[in-house]
Amino acid sequence: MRVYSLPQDGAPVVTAAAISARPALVRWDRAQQGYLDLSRKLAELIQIQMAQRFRGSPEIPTAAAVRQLRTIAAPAVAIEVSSVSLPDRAPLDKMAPVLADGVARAVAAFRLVYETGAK
Amino acid sequence: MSRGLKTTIAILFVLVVFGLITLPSLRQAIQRISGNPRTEEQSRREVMQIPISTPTDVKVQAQVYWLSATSPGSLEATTIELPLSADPVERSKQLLIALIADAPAPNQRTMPPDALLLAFYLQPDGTAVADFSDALSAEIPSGIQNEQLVVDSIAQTLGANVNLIRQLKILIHGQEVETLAGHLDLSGLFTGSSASAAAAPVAQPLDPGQINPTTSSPAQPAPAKRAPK
Repeated sequence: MRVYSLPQDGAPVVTAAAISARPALVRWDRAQQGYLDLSRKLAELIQIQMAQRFRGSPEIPTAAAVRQLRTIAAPAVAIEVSSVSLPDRAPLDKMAPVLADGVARAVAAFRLVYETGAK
Repeated sequence: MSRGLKTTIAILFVLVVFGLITLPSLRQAIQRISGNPRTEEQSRREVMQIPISTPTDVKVQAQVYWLSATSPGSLEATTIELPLSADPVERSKQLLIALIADAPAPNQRTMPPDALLLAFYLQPDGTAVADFSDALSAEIPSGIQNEQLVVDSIAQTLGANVNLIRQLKILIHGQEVETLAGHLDLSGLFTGSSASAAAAPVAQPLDPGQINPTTSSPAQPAPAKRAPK
């Protein structure tokens, strides 16, 4: 179970504390740029939960240029459960509750980080 | 028994004997054909992607990054002897053709066998442009990790064997595409330097028996992937 966030690419990073001061308009495909640190933090929290629940999962999230994350103007991660070409999806379905619980705990923990940082 | 009937039986007997004699070779031919299906793309490769040979070719020990035989979700450098040109463009073409065609085993491929390298350019600033056929994006299993492994194998193989390459742009059929197979962003440039950052070990496919809510695995940290700029 891998959790991905966009890599830092040299763009100026905006912290949560500075979110309110962000310009109103940004290029749509650069929307994630201001949230890279927060996304990374969220990815770390989720990845730790996944590592505790699913053996074989790494403990550190991976930075990857996932196209779908670029246009999200909020902390965002991608969780890859398995290859979509897996022939039998029944084992994946059985993992859903455990996966959901892990994500929920990580998001709850992240909320504290996010709200503290935004103040 | 009439003479005509005897003749008919004799002819049928001869035909049966002939069939029994030719049956084994016929069966072998059928097995050979069914065991080695040749796609249109593979046939085209033999015509279009003939091995590149230049006057400056020298046999060297090249490092090519295919999937690890022991850990299928990670890359592993395999040293093979390849005749490589001194010209960086021709050298890169030779390496990429080997990366597509010479995998030690089918399950160690990172790129589909039908993929073709259509063109390769190297700009003075060290930006390499590799143009592949549609098969590269159409025939790899969609998924972030799969797509990342394809790009990593290309970038690391070039980075390990061609000094001049600083960054890499991947085109599909001459066009810039948004993603390789639905996930990995190809709109930017990939760095093609270090060969040391092989992909990290992979989380195993999800097996309910592996779910263990209380213990964590001795997972290894995943090195950050190189990403488009």
